[in-house]
Amino acid sequence: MSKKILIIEDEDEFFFFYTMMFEGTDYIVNRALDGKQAFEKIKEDKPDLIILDLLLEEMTGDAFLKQLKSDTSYASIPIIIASSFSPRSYKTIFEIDPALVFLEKPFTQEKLLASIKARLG
Amino acid sequence: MKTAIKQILQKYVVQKNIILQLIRKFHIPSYKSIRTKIIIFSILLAVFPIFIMRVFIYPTEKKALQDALIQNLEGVGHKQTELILRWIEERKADTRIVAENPNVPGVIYKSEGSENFYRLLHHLNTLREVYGYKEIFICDRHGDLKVTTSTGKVITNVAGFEFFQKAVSGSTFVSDISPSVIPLENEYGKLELGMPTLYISTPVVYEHKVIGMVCLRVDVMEISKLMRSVRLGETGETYLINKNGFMISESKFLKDLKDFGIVRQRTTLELRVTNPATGKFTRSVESCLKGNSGYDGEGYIDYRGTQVLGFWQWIPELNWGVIAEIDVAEGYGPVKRLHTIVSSIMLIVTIAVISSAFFFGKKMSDPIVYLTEVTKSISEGDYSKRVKITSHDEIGELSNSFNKMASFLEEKTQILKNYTTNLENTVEERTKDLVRMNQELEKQSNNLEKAYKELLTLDQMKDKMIRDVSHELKSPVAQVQMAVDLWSKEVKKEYIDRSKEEKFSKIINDSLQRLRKTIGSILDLSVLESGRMVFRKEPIQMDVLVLQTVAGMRLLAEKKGLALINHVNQGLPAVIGDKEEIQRVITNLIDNAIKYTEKGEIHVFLEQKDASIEFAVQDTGVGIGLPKEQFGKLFERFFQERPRVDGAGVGLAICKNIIEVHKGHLWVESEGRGKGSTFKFTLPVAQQGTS
Repeated sequence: MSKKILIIEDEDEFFFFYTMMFEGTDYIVNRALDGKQAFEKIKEDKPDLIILDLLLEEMTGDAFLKQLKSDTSYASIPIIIASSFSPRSYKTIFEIDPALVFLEKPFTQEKLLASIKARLG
Repeated sequence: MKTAIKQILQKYVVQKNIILQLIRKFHIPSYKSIRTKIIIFSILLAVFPIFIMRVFIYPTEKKALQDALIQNLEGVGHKQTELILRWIEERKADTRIVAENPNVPGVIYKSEGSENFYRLLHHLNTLREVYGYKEIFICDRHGDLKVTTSTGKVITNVAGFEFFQKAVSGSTFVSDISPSVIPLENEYGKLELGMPTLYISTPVVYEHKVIGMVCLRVDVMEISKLMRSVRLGETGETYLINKNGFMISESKFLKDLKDFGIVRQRTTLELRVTNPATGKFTRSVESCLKGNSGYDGEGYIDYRGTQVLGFWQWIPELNWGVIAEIDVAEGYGPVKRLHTIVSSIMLIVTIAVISSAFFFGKKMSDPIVYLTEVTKSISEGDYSKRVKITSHDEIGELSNSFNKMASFLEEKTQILKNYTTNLENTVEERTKDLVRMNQELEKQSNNLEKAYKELLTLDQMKDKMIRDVSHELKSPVAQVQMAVDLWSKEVKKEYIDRSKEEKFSKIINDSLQRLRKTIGSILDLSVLESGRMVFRKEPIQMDVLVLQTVAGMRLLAEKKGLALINHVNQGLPAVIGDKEEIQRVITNLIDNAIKYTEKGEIHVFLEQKDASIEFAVQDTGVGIGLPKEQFGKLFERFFQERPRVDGAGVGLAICKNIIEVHKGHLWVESEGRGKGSTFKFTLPVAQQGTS
C-alpha cells in the first residue's frame, strides 16, 4: 500500500521540486502551506510521514512540531525537516524530536528518497 | 522547759525589734557597720568586768560578809544572854546573902528600934548603895514589911505579890519587869507611878522554917547598861523583850523614839517591838516569842521601820528574849560602799570607754565609710573622685593605693572611652560605607544582570539575525541548485518535458534576482554604515518627488486591489539632499505598505510642520506585533519580525540611515497587530542661503 506523505512548504518553487522528485514513486504526496493547514490535513487523513519546512508564515516549523508531538495520536508520525537553515543553527529542534531527519536545502532526489525510506522502512 | 525557752526567745525577738526601732529612730548606723561593731565591742569590753563583778564577785563577798556579820551578832547575842544570866544570878546571890544575914530572923521577930534592926538596915543601905539597888526590903511570913531601905512611900504588906508568894514557898524568884503599883523615883529623880520594876526575892529560913522573905528591887536601868555594854557599830544594839513583846531595856535610839512621840519616858515596857508600818511584831520578836533562837542575814524591818540584820535568843528561865540587831546599811556598808565606789569607777570607765569607742569607732570607720562612698561613686562611673586622707597609717596607705588605682582606672577608662568612641565612629563610617557599597553593588549587580540579559537577548538576536540572513541568502541558492540538479536529470530522460524548462528557467531567474537584491541591500547598508557613501546635495521639491513615486507604484497597488491615495500639499519649500536616495526611501516605505496590506487603502501624506517637511505612509495592513517601546528594532539591520515575509530585514535600516544622514528623523506608529501602521519621516526645510 502506498505511503502517504504530507509536505508542509510555503514556497511554490520548492514544492515544484518535490513533485519532480516524487515523480515515478508510489508515494501519495499532499501539500500544506503552513502549520495550521497541515493540522487540518492530518486530521482528515493521517500521513505516514511529514516533510516540514521550518520557515512558515502562519506557524513556524518548530511550533508545529511541538504541537504535533504533544498530541498522542500523531506523535509517532516520522518527521523529515527540509530547510535552508543549517542543522547546526537549529539544534533545538532535536530536543523536540530526537528521531527526526534534517535535510538541508539544497538536497538531491536520492537523498530525499533515501531519508524517507530510512524513516518508513 | 520548752515553754521557758520559747518565752526567752520571744523576749529576745521583742528586744531585738525594739533595738532595731531605736536604730531607725535615732539614725544609728546599721549594726553591721564597722563603726557599730567597734563601738559594740568596746562597750562589751567595758561592761564585761562590771557584769562579772555584779553577778559573781558582789554576791560572794556579800555572802561572806553576811556570814561574818551574823557570826558577830550571834556572838554578841550569846554573850549578852550569858551576861544577863550571870547578872541575875549575882542578884539572886545578893538576895540570898541578905537572907542569910544572922540579924534577919531577929528583925522579923522583933519589932523596929532594936540594935539588930539598925545594924541590919545599915548593912542593907551599904549593900544598896554599893550594888545600886533601888530598894532592899524584908517581910515576915505574912507579908508585913519589917525592914526597908526606902525612905519614901512603901507598901506595908506584899502578901498579894507574886514575888512574895514564890519566895515564901521556898525558892529564889526573879519577877517580870512590871510597872510599879506605887509611885517610885524615876531616872529623872521624880516620883512616877508604874515605873518598871524588877523584884528578886528569896525566903528567910530560920530553924528550917520560912519565916519571911528578902526582896531586892533592882534598877532596871542597870539591865539597860548591861545591854549597852557591848558595842555593835554605829547602829547595832542589843535589847531585851519580855514575853508580851515589850522592850525591857532602853533602846539606843530612845531620843529619836521620844522625839517622834513613840515613847514618853523610856522604851522599857513602853515600846511594843513591832514593825511600825504593819503593827505586827518584828521578825526577831515574833520568832523569840515562839521560844526560838535564830538570825536573819537578809534583813527585816525593826521597830524604827529600818532594815536590820538580827540575831535573837529566847531565855526560857527568865522568859526574856535577847535581840542583837544592826542596820543593814551599816552591816553591808563596806560592801555597799565598795560596790558603789567600784560601780562609780566602772561607770566612769564605761562612759569613757563608750565615748572613746564612739570617738575611735568613728575615727576608724570614717575613713572606711569615706573610702566606701568614694568607691561607690567610682563604681557608678565618676572616676574623677579621689580620697583625701593624709594619715601615715594603714588607712593612709590604703588611700594612696586607692587613689593610684582610681587614677589608673580613670586613665584606662578614658582610653577605653576614646577607643570605644573611635571604634563606634569607625564602625558607623564603615557601616555607612558598607551600606553604600552594598547599594552600589546591588545596583551594579542589577545593571550587570540587566546588561547580561540584554547581552543574552542581543546574542540570541544576533544568532537569529545571522540565521535568518543566511537563510535569505541560502534559500535562492538552494533553489537554483535544486533546479539545476533536477533539470540536468530531466534532460537525461528519453522524453524531455519542455514545459518544465520554462518553469526551471523562471525559478532560476527569480532566485538569482532575489539573491542579487538581497546582496545589493546588504552591501548598500554596509556602505551606508561605513560612512563612505557620498550623497549629492541638491534642492529637492518633495511634493513633486512624492507624486512621481506614488504614480510609479499605483500599478503595483492596484494589482493587489489596494487604493493608493495622495494627500500631498503643493508648493512646499524644498529640502536639500540626494534625490535618488530620498526616492529610494519613499519607494521602500510605500512598497512595504503594499506588501503588508491585504485589503483596504494606502494613504500618502506630505505636509510642512514648522521647519520640516513630514512624509507619511498610512496603511490598513498587518500592523506591528511588537510592544511600542520595541518599535525601534524594526529599523535595526537584519531585524525580521516575520522572517519568511520580511526578506533580509535591511530595507528599513537603510531608510533610517539615509534619513538620518539628511538630518531627518524616521519612525513608525501603530496600534498593534492587525491595526495597520504609519511610517513617517521628516526632513529639514532648506535654509535660504543653501537653496
